[in-house]
Amino acid sequence: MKNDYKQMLIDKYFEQNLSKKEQRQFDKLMQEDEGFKGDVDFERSVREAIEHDDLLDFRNKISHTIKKQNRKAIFRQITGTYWKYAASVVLVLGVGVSVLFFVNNRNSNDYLFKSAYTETKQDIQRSRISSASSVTVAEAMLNYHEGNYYNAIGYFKELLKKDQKNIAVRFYLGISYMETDNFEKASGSFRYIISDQNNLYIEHAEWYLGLCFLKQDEIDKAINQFTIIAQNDQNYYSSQAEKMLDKINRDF
Amino acid sequence: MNQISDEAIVEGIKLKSQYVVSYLYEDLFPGIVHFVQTNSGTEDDAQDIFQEALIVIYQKTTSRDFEFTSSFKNYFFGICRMLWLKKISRGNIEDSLDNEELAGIKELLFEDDMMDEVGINAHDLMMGLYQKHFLMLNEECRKILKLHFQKVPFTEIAEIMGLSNEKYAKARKYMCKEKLKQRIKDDPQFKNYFEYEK
Repeated sequence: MKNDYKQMLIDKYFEQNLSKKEQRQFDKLMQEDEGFKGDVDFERSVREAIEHDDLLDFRNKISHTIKKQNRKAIFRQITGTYWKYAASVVLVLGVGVSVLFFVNNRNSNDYLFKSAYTETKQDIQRSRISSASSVTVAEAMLNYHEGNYYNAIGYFKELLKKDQKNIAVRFYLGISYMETDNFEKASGSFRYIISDQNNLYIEHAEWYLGLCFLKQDEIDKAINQFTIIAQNDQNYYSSQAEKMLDKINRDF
Repeated sequence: MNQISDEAIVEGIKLKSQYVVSYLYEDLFPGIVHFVQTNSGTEDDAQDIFQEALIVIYQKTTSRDFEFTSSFKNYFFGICRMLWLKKISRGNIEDSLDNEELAGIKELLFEDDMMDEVGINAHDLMMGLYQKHFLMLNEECRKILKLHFQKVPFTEIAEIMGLSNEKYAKARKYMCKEKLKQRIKDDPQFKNYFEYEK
């Protein structure tokens, strides 16, 4: 009997699609052909093993994590302090968003990093309410890093349920929304930060809110927002806002 | 390193949290490597054991009666120790040990009351082996086999996978299955688990 035919019998057996004649042949082979029986047993085991998507998924995650750990860099930062990592993510995202808007923003990202780090170090002291919540923070950061912004948004929203006034979380949520092109919700996050009036993220939130307006083609609002920033000499984004206004006036 | 409570660790494993896996790897892996290496294993063996222990615990967390009497750290080490001892007591490594070493290891294994508590059996280990090698196949093979096992007709598989026709899809499936079979059979643990399961 040809191997192709045997394979067809095995396929049909697992599809529960054997005719009576084929069933008889199958039973005979199971009794007389050790190789055939081995193939059937093997396929049964494989089917059983890989039907557990959750286990496969977890195994995959563990393998990736081990590889990453072995490459070291990233996870050292995470285990040092979550928010230090978060701040570096903001730096990365800041670069991304800046590129998005064709603005050379290197210095502001450095500033963003420093200020975010200072602030978030304080935040983590407050955030260490429970280890369980720390797990969520770390998950959000990991998802950020992997570019899984939708997942990160989910985690940040969970964190906000526990601590609605966490400005740092609001900020990262806002950036995540921007990365997923949800500029309306991003605007909401930045507006909250601005209206809070007592945090170190206000200048960044004002700037990103302006960018959100721009992306939504709300040019008047964008001009208004960048004008507010440009008029305040103390605002870190003041000169960038002026350049942005020049660009807008030139292009629109 | 920030400390995570045992409860949060279990919760994290239940959620398949990569952060918790990282945390455990940093916190507990050095101890596991030490144990495995002092018992005739390698760092790669220790990584396998680390992964299997997490899978065992993940499966346990899905059952309602999951609990452990000691700290999580002790529980985790207990499982790793048991997995390794079980592996070497059935494996080729046994041949390389002298009688005294072997007796010591078997004694450790025998005394280990964790075995009953955790309930790991050769079938679980075998399934783990299959899953490990399945994940090592290329994406195309994984996808074809998955679709085939989900009883998706070959005509549809060909369409989904962008293959020219049903016949070619069948041939690809056969090739992938053979590749998987070979990988599994070439694994030194396969024979051990297979015989153990009999």
